[in-house]
Amino acid sequence: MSLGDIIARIIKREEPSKEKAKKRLKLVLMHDRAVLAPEILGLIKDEVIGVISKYVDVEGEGTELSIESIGDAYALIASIPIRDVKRTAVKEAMMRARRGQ
Amino acid sequence: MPGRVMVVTSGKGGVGKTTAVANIGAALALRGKRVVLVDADIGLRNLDVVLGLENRIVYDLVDVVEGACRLKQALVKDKRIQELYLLPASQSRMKDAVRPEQMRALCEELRKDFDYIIVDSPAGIERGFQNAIAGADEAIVITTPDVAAVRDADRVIGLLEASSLSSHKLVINRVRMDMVRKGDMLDQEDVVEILAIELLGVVPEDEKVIISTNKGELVVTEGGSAAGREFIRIARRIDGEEIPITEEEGKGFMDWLKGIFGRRG
Repeated sequence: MSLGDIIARIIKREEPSKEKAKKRLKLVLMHDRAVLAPEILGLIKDEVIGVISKYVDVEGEGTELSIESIGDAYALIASIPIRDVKRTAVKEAMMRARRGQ
Repeated sequence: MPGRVMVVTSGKGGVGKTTAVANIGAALALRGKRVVLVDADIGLRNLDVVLGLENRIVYDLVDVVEGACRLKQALVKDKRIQELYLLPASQSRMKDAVRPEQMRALCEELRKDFDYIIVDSPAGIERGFQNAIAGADEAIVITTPDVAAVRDADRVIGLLEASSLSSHKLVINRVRMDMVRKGDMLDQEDVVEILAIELLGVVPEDEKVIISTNKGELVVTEGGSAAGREFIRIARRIDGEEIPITEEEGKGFMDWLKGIFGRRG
């Protein structure tokens, strides 16, 4: 690249094409990696339900776990319908927590 | 000591898998290792023509797997390099002719006689790919520095991580340093950052590869080829030598800039 090319690039504020390639790749791979692992999503879902159902009575069938893009970032979104709170379990857990302190 | 089984794979076709297999294998054989190259691209045989051995094939991988011949009968010995052998793919059969457990048994058999068993995987991630990785201990992923090849390499790396292979390393092939310097081609840092995988080598684009392949020869046997020199270094790294990875043709863009200002200042 000659000095002229560099100046032209700065004046036009054009980023080198490899930077565009890198940005596009990072985005597409984030999506590939996220959507290509439904079995992992299934595992996460089962484990999350396992933890939550210790304290609340959840409707496992209606649980949905998905990866969504929010602007440039990705988020794990869980929707877990609750039937009831397990009062005794919650009380016990709170007592355990106090004792731990 | 039993040999190491390595699979060379890429996901995308046309990135130079077969050329890499032929040259890395030849470079290992030139170091005195016993090497067999296995063409696992059943139905689309091409490692034989890259090696210049296409006229010497009698039996192929499917014949061995089906018991139509003994393994030793199917091995084609290279005419120039001692200790380099080819197990050719079948050209007339389809890839369903072989099952992963048969490939695993074949690799175990070859392990007894060879130091290195290098399996050339077909493009794609279906049956042929699963066959190619079935008997392997390690994988070499080949990519070129473009968005399509890097994306496919990422997919393949994901599948390799989910398999039982102990390691996988990356070779970036056909890098044009003139374009890297202009910022018009991903450099090795970019690709490694994106794929998060250990780098084994960076091979420059070299027209001598095409010329050698036209003649059925290999660039590692020629002194004047930049790609050939890097394939030799890759072979030495595989064989346990510590050789730093440097870009053959010039340096990175920032070094180049520093060079200019350094000269002028």
